[in-house]
Amino acid sequence: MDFISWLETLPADTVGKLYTSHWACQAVLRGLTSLAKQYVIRILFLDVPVATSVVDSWTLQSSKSKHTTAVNRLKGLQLLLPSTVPSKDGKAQAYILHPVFREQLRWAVSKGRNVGTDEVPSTVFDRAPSRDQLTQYAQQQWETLMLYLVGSVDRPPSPSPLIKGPKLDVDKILAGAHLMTGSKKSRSIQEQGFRFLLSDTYSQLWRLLRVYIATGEERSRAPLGTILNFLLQLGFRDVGSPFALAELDDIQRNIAGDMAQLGLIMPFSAKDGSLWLAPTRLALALAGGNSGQLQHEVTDGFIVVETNYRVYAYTSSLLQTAILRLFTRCECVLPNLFVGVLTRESISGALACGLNADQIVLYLRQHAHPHVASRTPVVPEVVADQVRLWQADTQRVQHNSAILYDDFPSPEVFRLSAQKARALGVWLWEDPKAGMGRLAVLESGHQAMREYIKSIK
Amino acid sequence: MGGPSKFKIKLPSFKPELAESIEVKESNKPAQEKPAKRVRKRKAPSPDEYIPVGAEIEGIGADDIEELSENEDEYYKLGAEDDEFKDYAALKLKPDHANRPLWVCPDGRIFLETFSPVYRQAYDFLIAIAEPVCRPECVHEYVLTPHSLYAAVSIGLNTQTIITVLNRLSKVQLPPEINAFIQESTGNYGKVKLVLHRNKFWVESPYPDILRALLKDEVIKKAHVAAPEGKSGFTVMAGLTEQAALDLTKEVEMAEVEEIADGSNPEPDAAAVDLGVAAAEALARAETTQRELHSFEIEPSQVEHVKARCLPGGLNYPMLEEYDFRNDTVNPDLNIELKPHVQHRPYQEKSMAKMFGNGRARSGIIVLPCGAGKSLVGITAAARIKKSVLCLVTNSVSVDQWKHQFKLWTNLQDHQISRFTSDQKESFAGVSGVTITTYTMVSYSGRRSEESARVMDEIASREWGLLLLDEVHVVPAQMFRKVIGIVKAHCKLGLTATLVREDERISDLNFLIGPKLYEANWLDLTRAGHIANVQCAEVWCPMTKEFYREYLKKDNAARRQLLYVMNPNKFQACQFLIQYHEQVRGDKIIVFSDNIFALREYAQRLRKPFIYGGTSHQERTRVLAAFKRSAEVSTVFLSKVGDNSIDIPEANVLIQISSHAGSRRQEAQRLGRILRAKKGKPGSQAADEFNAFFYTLVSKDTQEMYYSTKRQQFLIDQGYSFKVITNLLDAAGGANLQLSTRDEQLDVLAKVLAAGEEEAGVEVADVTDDVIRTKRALAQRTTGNLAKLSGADGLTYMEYDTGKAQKPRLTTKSGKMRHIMFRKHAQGKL
Repeated sequence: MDFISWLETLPADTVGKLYTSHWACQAVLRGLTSLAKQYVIRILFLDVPVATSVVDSWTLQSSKSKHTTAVNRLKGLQLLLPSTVPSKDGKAQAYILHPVFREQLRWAVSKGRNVGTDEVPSTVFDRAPSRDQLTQYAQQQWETLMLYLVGSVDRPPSPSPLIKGPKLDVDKILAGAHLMTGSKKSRSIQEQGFRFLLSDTYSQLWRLLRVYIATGEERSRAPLGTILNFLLQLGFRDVGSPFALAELDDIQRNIAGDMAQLGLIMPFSAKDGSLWLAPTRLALALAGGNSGQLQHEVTDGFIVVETNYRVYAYTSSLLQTAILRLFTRCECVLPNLFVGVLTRESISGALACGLNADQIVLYLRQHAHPHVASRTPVVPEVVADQVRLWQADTQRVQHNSAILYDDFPSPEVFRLSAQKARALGVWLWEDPKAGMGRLAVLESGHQAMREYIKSIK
Repeated sequence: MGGPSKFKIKLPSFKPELAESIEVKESNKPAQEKPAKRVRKRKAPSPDEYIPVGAEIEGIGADDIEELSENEDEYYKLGAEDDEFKDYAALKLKPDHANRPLWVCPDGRIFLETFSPVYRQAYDFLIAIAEPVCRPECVHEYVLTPHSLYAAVSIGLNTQTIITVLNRLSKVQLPPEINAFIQESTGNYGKVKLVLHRNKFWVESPYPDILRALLKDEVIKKAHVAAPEGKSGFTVMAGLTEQAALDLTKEVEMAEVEEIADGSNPEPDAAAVDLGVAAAEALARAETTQRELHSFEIEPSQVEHVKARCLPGGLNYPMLEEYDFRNDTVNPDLNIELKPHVQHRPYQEKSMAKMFGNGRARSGIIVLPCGAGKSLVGITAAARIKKSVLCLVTNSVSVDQWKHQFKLWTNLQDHQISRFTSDQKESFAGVSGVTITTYTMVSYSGRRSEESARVMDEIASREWGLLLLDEVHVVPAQMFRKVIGIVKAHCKLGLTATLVREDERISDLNFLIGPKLYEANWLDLTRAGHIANVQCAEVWCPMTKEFYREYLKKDNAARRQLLYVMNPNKFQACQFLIQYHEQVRGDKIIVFSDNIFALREYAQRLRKPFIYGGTSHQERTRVLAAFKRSAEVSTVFLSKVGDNSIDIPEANVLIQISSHAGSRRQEAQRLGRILRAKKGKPGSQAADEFNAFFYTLVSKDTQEMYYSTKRQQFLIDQGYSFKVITNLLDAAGGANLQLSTRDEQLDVLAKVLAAGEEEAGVEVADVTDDVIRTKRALAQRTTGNLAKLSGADGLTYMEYDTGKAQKPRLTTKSGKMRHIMFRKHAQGKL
């Protein structure tokens, strides 16, 4: 569940309060699907409501389902509020854009600018980490977190020594997101945790941050807006452009410390000893929305899946290796190559962990090596089909509780009962040749059947 | 990945029979490496048992499965135990690894990137020194074996070159194990050659020290013919350099130097410069060291002893045999020239270059996919050597085809080509010529007719320049020994499409014929348009209720195969496919069935001609001719006899309704029937469009599922993919299909259940009694019919059922031996 889906679940007034920040408004806009985005932009500068009939006429009949999804989402986010417009026969249903959101977004569109464009002294820039350092830092912190989740390392990512303050309780967040149970020595990954591992960074990040925000609220009794706003604002900063820790208030400083631990920002000290923070690429994902994220995933792809079920992954990352080993049988590991095979057993194992075939195929596709990313389909069709067939195989047998009737008083009663069972839709099996006939029905139909049989006896 | 707190998750609990059917192979690793609890042997699957839904469906080599949880107590660990896979992460990666195309593992495995700029050169080199394991699109896998290295040495690569070039291509530092392995495997190979030169036998080597060492041996000393001019001097002559080998290494070096020169980085770093220098040095070395050849003559009568003495058991300098045909003045030349219009494809030229790398002919095997022009390679070799040729093939139909090929590509006339089969016993006119015959004709040990004996004498008495061995993979080793014992040939060239490597026969072939000289990549050939682009599909046909009930019954064990082959849903799928391809696409279709009962039943119901072992030669020729020419006959049903060598270039659709258990080779051979490059249909220009179709129909939830996965392995390794079609008949919809009513289906079922046991089985009556009797084949019912000697009779497949189903068929139910007359009677009933 990402940022947008989460917002939908919040009460209307909380969301309303959130919209007082133009950062939040922009982040919401970015997170929308392109159709919904288009609708918002269309009515952004309208001061009057738009009749529902007009909105409904914006798409062709063939795209009705997309239209409905988009409108429902906008309604769910409180962006489209019900209203009315005068019409021939009195008043007609209409939509109006959330007034606060409208004002904030209008402001952002016409006057807004990026955060972090304030002057930064050159003494700070000299010490600022390079892009590579940032990427490496972000990767290291984030991967350690994931490895901690799967149990390959014993410690969560370490907090930055530069920022003083309470440490982030990683266990609590992971448990809160239902990814892990227990803590420290006795932890174990949950079914959802495996699915989590396969999802993209954007979704992963928001899943954790949701919990972080919720627990953060309890902890600091800060209103919801504070934490979220800070995070969203962070998302709009340029990667690597530093901002001073001194400018932040206490709550924000704590959050910054926590984010540094997760790898979203990298702290460093300038020559004069002042502390500065540089957002990493991970922070971009905060307000990036799904679409932005996918693009960078493609360039980072490393997996080649062959028609002979072999998986070659150009990686030396422990995390990626660990994830791949969830559903492949590892053949050998070379310094920068992982060789595995998708087998019936490895897939069954993954299915038993709560993954499903589509997630596995999606993961392989999303992380395809640039060399194969352009071919269609990215994951050979046979392999994708086979993974799904293996899954289908595990679902071939269906269990139903059933009731077996025999000892019918006469073949006629049997015949009528079978008929009745069919009519009720609970018929499973019959054998007219055994004695006076035998009949099996779903347990759910037992009551009705018993009464019926009694009635005709 | 260390760390004490590995979390644990439960693996799904397999159903007992599922777990039972998963074959566990004890790996080479010592057992104590694994926790004792986990080493639990399970019963190997027997094809006899019902195996649910292809329980052993497996990506790669079912044998590789090592450990599987079998009950709920077992845990699966995310960071798996170290002994469960090979961890080579410690290998040192070279700084410029991105420019290099391959990884070399300490266990001899090599992974090659096909998208590397030096792929083509690296491929040519690897194919010379390693066995290809699988060659799909992006990453190929090879393995270094003693045999493959032997082959490398025999085409003229030396130990140092192999190591240097391999190291240069590798992304990782060459592991010391590999270095040692190559040294050990190639150290003595190829150092000494036995050359027939001006009709004298010479022991030849570029290293005089080795010759001196050899001469110290008593046996060799005795055989030595002392040179007149000096006491211990060797004859020194300038040998031609090993062109093919040199090309290989040179190409790699050139490509790399180029790569560095026009690579993205303008200033080559130190490593790159080193590389260039090393390349130049290696080149210079290669040019000078190969020039001088030392040799001494030995007595022709002692050749066998000298050869035996040099084998690993003795002096351990195995001799390579070469034929200096240009200087052979004793055997008369054959006036054979390729016709001027003949053009070779690049891979055909490459294989020729390997064979004639140093101006002499060396014996060996060339592996090309079916339909890629193997015959032309053989014929070109013959035209290069220009001596008498004996050509051995598998059956009389292909004898005719080879004769046709010789006439098509060369200037040879009818009188220069003789055929020796049970029907035709010809001999060529003149002192030299080409004789084409079958393996069985030559190796037959029983009494021969006078005429046949005369031709055999001619064959045995002649010194052949070239012995061409077609489809070497089908012939058992004993038969080869016999043939090679009878026929005296200077050079032996084996041709095959599928050298399936897991059988032990490969090592026999290696020493009986010679090393593998060349193996083409199927996928590359497909891309280049030399062979057809085939869409492979596995069609799942659910068993009908009635058939499945009978299938599960214990007392129907013998009829199981027939039951799943005759499955009405399968029949309908087959009918639908035939209708679709005949009517919609206008294709030519072959339907294969190993089961004669099913073959007859299907063919008769669909009113199509069929050919099986019992079909006469004339009838076969007639049907095939009609299939080739007539628009009326677009479908033909074939039994096993059609697997090999029957050349039907017109066919482009193949439907397989029953097959020989898990034989990977049969699958590949059958695919070969439709591989010959097809002309694109007008209007379809796309290069990657499929122009041939291969369907395997399998009955769901039967043994067939298991077998078919196994069978496809070879082709999957070659880069083919099998699309699974689960709902063909849903798509068929309103098509007018037979057997769609329950009554019709029950009729068929009754017929199946009434079928005699021998009818229900596979076609075995085909195998000739006297020649091909491998240990297990003894248990098969055979008819010792001499008339069939000429048929496609020399066929055996390596994989046999090992289960209890394999009751000796020579005996009846009561356990008595069947009298020959009853066998004949049963045959008549067929």
